[in-house]
Amino acid sequence: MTEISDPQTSPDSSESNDLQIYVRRHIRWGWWLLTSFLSLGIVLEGLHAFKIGMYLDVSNETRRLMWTLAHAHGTLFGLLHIAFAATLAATVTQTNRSHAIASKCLTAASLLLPLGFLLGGAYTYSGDPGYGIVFVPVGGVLLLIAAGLTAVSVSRHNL
Amino acid sequence: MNSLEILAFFVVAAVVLLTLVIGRGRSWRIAAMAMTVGAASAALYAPGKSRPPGKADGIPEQVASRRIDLADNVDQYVSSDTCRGCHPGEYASWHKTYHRTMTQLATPQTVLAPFDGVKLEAKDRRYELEQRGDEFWIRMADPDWEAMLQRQGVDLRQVASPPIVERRVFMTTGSHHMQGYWIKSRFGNMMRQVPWFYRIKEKRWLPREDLFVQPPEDKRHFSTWNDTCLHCHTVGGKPLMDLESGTGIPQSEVAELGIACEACHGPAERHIAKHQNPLTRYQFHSRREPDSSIVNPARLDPKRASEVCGTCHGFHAVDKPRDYAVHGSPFRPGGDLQVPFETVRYEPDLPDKARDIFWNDGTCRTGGDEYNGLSASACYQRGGISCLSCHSMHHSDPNDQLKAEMNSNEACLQCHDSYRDTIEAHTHHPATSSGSLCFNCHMPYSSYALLTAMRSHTIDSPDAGVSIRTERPNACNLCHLDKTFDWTADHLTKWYGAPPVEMDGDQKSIAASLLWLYRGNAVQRAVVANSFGWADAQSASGTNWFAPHLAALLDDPYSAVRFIGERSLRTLPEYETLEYDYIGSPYDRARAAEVVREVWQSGNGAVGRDDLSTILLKSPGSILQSIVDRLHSARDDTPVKVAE
Repeated sequence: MTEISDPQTSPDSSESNDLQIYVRRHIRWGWWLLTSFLSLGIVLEGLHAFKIGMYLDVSNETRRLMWTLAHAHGTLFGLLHIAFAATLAATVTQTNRSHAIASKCLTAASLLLPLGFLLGGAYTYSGDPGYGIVFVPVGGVLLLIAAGLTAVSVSRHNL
Repeated sequence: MNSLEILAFFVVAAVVLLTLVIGRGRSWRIAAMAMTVGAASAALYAPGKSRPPGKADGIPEQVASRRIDLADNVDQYVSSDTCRGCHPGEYASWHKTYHRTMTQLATPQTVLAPFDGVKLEAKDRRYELEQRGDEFWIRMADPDWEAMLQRQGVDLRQVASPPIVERRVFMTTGSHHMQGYWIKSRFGNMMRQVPWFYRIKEKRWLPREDLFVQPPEDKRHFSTWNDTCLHCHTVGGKPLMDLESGTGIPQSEVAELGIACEACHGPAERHIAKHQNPLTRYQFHSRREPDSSIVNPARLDPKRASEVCGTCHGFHAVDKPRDYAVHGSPFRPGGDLQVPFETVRYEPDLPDKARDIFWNDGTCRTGGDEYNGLSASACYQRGGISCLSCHSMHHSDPNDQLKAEMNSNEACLQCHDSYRDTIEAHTHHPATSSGSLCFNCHMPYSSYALLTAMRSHTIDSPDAGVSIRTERPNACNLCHLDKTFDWTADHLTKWYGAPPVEMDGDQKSIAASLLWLYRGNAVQRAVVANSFGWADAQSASGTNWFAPHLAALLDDPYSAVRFIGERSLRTLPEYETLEYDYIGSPYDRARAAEVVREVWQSGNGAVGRDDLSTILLKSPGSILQSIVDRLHSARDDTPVKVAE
């Protein structure tokens, strides 16, 4: 297993600083996403508790599904950011272009997917979500890129 | 796409772009943007591959194997299950209705009657009911054999030992007021009706002949489902009767049991195929135009919209009866009902079955044929009213499918708004009284069906002259049960300038309700008997004189009249626990009527009234028997059979 380098003692301090920046950024993203989308979960529980028709009525089934998916995806993205940070910290000593792309794709996906679901549920057309749903497949593809690049990177480091 | 949605869409897009721009390097940006565009294109331009229409209903295999077939792709129907995916709200609101449950497969969930160990007996025939697991069985005289004998002119009462068969109950009809049951015949997939119904409110099995207005001497009716009920109680029903060989044996098919989405919206296969493609759907959402691939009755003109309901809630002559018996109704929602059908209008020389749905002034008097009444009304012909003005399948109370507030004057004020602040001046009744409810005068309870009186859907104004010249009861005397025709005519003249009406001595001096009750025909008696149990009429007329007159109905020759008479009598506290069975023996019925009269006399009935002779009383507790007998002997015993 590759050892985690101490940035202070690393031979290339600028690369190490980059790694630290990525790790911190994704930990920050992760915890803020968790905070945001767990809050959304509490809001959704409140809508259940008070039997709010705009969320629970059968005619709003699509909204309920979209917002539940927004909550689930947002929360999981929070965990994914933290996992990504941990992966970087555990597997590389210096970042490269592939890490940068994976980082950006993950960040973009973590906005596009849950917000796409949230927006898709805000305005619905009977059984169809609103136009915001178009962000979801885009986010899905970006997430796939991020996951793929990370997997390749991790494999190269021969974990 | 509304403006808020557009704004939110672009805010999210901007947030994501800003996030991307914060990063360094170009290649990932190019890759991400390319993937974004590619993914969006793929999502939006994915080919709209049509899925084949689904099997019409999840009919159990064991039933299908017995040839109650629901064919695939019948007339391009797709079934309500398919509609549900995109229209969950509409599906849910329809799912609550009794339309959905009009025809169901017999299962422990759908059968409302007790079955296991029940033994029924009527007209010298015994019926033994049994539940075997999830199946319902009945042991009875072979209905195929009995129907054949009856066609040959044999009086079934003379056949003491008919062959006994065991048949499984396959389907049910109804779930609101009563439920009927269907067993399979040996001919094709013909379904025969068990000649007993279960009355849901009364929780009681009752013989078919005692549930409808039909002459007591009528022969037993062997109903078959395929050539009657199928047309309106299913979607896309095709009787497929074998007329070529002359046997008429059916191999019927339906797209869906019950009255489901496509009964009103038309076959939806094309609609489903069109909207399989998300791009097409979102283009449609953004345009907010009517969808040409499906019929929405709410967007049709009032007449076409009413015809969607009227095809089943109406009495029509079929243009091509042979085609109808094979291929079913050619009418599709949005079409012209008068092409395949001709709505029946009253003529004195109509066949009995058709004539009996009308009062002899031409007004429809049968619940279930509301279209015949509505379409003869000025509100429909000139005012643009439709069934959907008051009713809805989706935003309504399942009991009458009335929309919110349509059980109030708002129904009429939609068009007649000028009466909103002048209602009392118009009705001459206190504004908050039932006399100021528009439909109590303009749509009185003068139609009959399902052992009750229903609102006439011929929207018109009370007219004492019509009631005197014809059979038809009027709104005023159906509420003011203690008043004469003379009183009504006088008020209509004073209040509305109605022309004076000529009438005889009885019409001037005896309450109109009692004239209908004693000398009317079976439908008049049933309708007025219902009014005696109507809380508003009781409040307007006082009730302490009802009992001896309602007692007369307890021994009426028509079962339906006895049923309603008993129900009205039981609304009076003294008779709630009366021992009486409307299908009991004539002796027991007459005895119960005697008991009612005795109870009423012992309570000094009608004390405090000053109109005793009008309500045929000599004194409190004493009836004017000679006049009652005279009226009774003049009873209109013309055989009547209401085809509900």
